[in-house]
Parts: sequence; structure tokens; C-alpha cells
Amino acid sequence: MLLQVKDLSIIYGSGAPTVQHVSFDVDAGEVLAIVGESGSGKTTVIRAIQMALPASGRVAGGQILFRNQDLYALPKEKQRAISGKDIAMIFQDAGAMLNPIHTVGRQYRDFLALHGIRDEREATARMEEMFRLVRLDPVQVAASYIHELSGGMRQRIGIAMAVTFHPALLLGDEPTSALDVTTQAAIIRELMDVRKRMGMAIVIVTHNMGVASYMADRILVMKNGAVEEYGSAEQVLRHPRAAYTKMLLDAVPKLEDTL
Amino acid sequence: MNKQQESRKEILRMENICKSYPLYRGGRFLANDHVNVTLHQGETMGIVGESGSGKSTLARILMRICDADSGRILFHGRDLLALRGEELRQVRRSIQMIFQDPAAAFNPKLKIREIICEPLRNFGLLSAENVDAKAREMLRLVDLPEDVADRYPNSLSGGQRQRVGIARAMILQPDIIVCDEATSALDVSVQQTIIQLLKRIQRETGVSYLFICHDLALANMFCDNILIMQKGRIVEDIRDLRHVRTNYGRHLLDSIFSVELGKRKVFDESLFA
Repeated sequence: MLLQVKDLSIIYGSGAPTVQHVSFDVDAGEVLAIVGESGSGKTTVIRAIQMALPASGRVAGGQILFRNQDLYALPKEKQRAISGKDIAMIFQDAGAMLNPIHTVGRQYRDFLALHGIRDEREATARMEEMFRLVRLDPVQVAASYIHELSGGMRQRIGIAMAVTFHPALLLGDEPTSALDVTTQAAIIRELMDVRKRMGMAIVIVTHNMGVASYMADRILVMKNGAVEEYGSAEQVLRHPRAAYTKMLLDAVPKLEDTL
Repeated sequence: MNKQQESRKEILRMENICKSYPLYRGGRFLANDHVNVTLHQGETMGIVGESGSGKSTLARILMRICDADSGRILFHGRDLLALRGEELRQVRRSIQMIFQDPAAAFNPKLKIREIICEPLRNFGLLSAENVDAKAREMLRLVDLPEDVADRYPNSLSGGQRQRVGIARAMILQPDIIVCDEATSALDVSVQQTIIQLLKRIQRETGVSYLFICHDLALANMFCDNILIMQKGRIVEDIRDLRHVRTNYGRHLLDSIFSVELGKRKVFDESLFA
């Protein structure tokens, strides 16, 4: 098993746990979708996997095993070696993580250098390869500033950077929620395509049940920091057991619905 | 249009609305390109389309937040764009707006009772001693507990805040409410209850909605008629999105992920050309 989350609880500050007793597994190459409404703890869970909880947050119970190693028992430098490389993340607006006053290309090269690729020619070749993988014009995009690019292009850059080092696990926090439906379709398809070619697993946080249904092998339904339901996508979407899952599915507007 | 709607009174007609913005590198961006919209009493008109298609610009022109370059807006037969000063101020009462994020639209230092009643107070139609009673009446209309009147916006959930936004918009008894992505930031379960509330208020008051939305399924469920906008133009005017005739309408619909289809969804390659 690539990732095993066992009885995970997370506390912010000194308050009550934000996430309580969450458990799930992700096999190599598998897609897990975490669904649920605002405040359900979805983002907190994947931030914990990325080892990027805010300073006030801490794992208060349970374990996150990545390739059978307990991530939070590892020394800091080992954690850093995994985070961003073996486990990578894309955000709702990948543009927000980039500096507006440097070109995308310069920042991509800095990122490569940070992970040991310092040779100019090698860095350029790698960057261009990744941009082509997500169907971006490598020369044009590298020379651009982030504000010159559309939402869809920014998310493609986010995906390209995240998968640069062939992560075994890609985490996505609502990566298409800010996009138009047409762009969302393109980006989701891009993600699934890249996943197939690289054989990586994906854990995606989404509130869009349609996206979850298209992508996921397994689905975890969260509410108020706890797991309401966990199972195969088929079971959760077509034969939901939890009343909350049924309510969520019913609330999704469908084209044929009337009031 | 069905029989019932045909007999409904026309209250708004926007004709040949054009609006362009200067582009950074020269030239102009045509945000609204000869847009025509007709709205009847008690009708819900949806506007869908991608970012930048001109939906919000149209709403802003109707609200007189920005001026059209050309075109006419007839509201109850009067040309709205020709109105100035006090006349315009009085007409504004009849066209209200609710926003995607009411938290950003409310003064955080005012209590909910003051936020709800502020529009009436601005028009000098409510005395200070009647504020509390009126606020409570409006809170009942939007299914919120009356003691919400004593609270501040930051202590309310997103759904509660949007209900307050609706109460504030309704207090002037408008003919039209413009909803600009009014439920887009809400969870689906909350969205559902807000849509039901808007529908109930419409049945009770006959208010018309201009409903701007990027969720095609939601628009199809809620609206009597839907305008599909692309690059500043209305490319289709349709009652049920399942029967779109234009390529662009088809393109939008084909992009939707449905729970039912799941992994069986096949995207046409032309979507990604």
C-alpha cells in the first residue's frame, strides 16, 4: 500500500480536534476523492499528508504511513526530501504560489535547482518537457509573468511543476474549482492523462461530486472532521449508506431537475 | 414561452447594450456586444457563460454601476439610462442585487438589524424605533431566527449571510433582483435551501430574477429562460438547456461531469482543440 492513513486526528491550537479518527488507504496508481462541505476537514487531511499543516496545527493521534514509513516519525530532512518530490500538491490557484515579478521560466528553474538540477541546459530541457506534457507552449509560457496567463494555463503550470519529479502521490486541493466548466474538463482530463503515463496515485479534495465520480476509484465522505462514509466510488455514489452522503448527492443540481 | 409567461407583464427590456473596455496593449475589449434581454414579471431569466463572457458587465449596467456605451434600458417603459439624480435614485429601489459574497457587501460593524434595514432608512422610509420590528419581519421572511437581528455578520454562516442579503434586497419590495453568482460560494446543501427560498419569495411577491450563474444544471433547474453568453454576445436564448442548438451551448453542456456517467463520460476531442 502506497499510503495508509490510520486513525488520524488533527488539532489546531488548543481547541477540539478538527479532524478525528480518519482512516483510509491509497494504492499505487489509485485515485481517492475526499468530498464533503466547507469545514469538514478535507483540506486539513491532505495538508497533513503533505506535511504542510499551518504552524498551529499538529497531528494529535494516529499515523500517516507513506511506503510503510510513518511520515511524522521521520527526521525533518527526510520529510523535506519526500514533500514536493514523492508527494506533490496542486492548489486551487496554482498562480498564487508563483511570484508575480519573475517570469514563470525563472521560477521553474529555481525550483529545479532547489531539487538538484542546476545545469542550465538540463533544466531547460526538463521544464520544456513538462510544459509539453500538459500541452503548454514551452517557450511562450516560460517567458510569461503569471498574471498574463489564464486560469487554465496557471493550473497546467501547477500540474507540470507538481509532477516534475514523478511523484508517487499527487494531492489536489480543489484544483479545478475556480475554473469554467470547459476549462475544468480539460484540466481534469489532463490530470488523468498524466496520472496514467506516470502511474501516480491521486488524492483529490473536491466538492464536485461529478468530478469525484469521473476520477475516483474510492471516495471518502467527510463531515465535521470525521468520516461519514468510505468505500469504492461505485458503492458510495450508487449505493450510499450514510444519510449524509445521500443528502449530498440529492443536493447536486442535475440538468433534468425541476423545482 | 408558455401561456402563463406570455400573459405576464413585461417589466424590463434591455436593447442593443454595448460596453467596451480599453485593453492594456491598445484596442478595446467588447464586454457586451448588442445584448438584448427582456424580463417579465415573476420570471427568472438565467445568464450562463464562461468567465469574461460579459454576464457581470450586463448586471452592472442594469444596476447603473457602470454606464453602457450605447443601447437602451426600458424599465416599466421608461428609459433607465436617461435618468439622473433623484429620479434615478427612486428607480434604484426597484432593482436590487445580491452578491456572491455578502460578507464583503456588509459593513462588519453594523448589527444584522441595521444591515437589513439600511436600504429603507436610506430612502427615509423607516424610523429608528421601527427598525427592530421590521428587521424581525424580514428575518422571518428568509427563515432565520429573529434573534439574528442582534448579531454581527461575522458570526453567521455563509448560508445565513446570504439569507440576510436576500432580506436586505427584498426590504424595498423590488421588481427585480439581480443575483450575481449568489449561490456559487455555498455548499450544495445550503445552495439548495437558498434556491428554494428564492423560489418561495418569488411565488409570494412576484419578484423577477436575473440569475447569473456558471452552474448549468442549477440554472436549468431554477430559471424559466436561459441566455447563453459568449464573448459579449447572447448566442442562444433557450428554455431548457437539454435542447441547446448552438455549438457553443453543446460545448458547455459536454463539459459537465455528471455523477451518473462517472468514468463512462467521454469527452469529444473538439472540446480541447
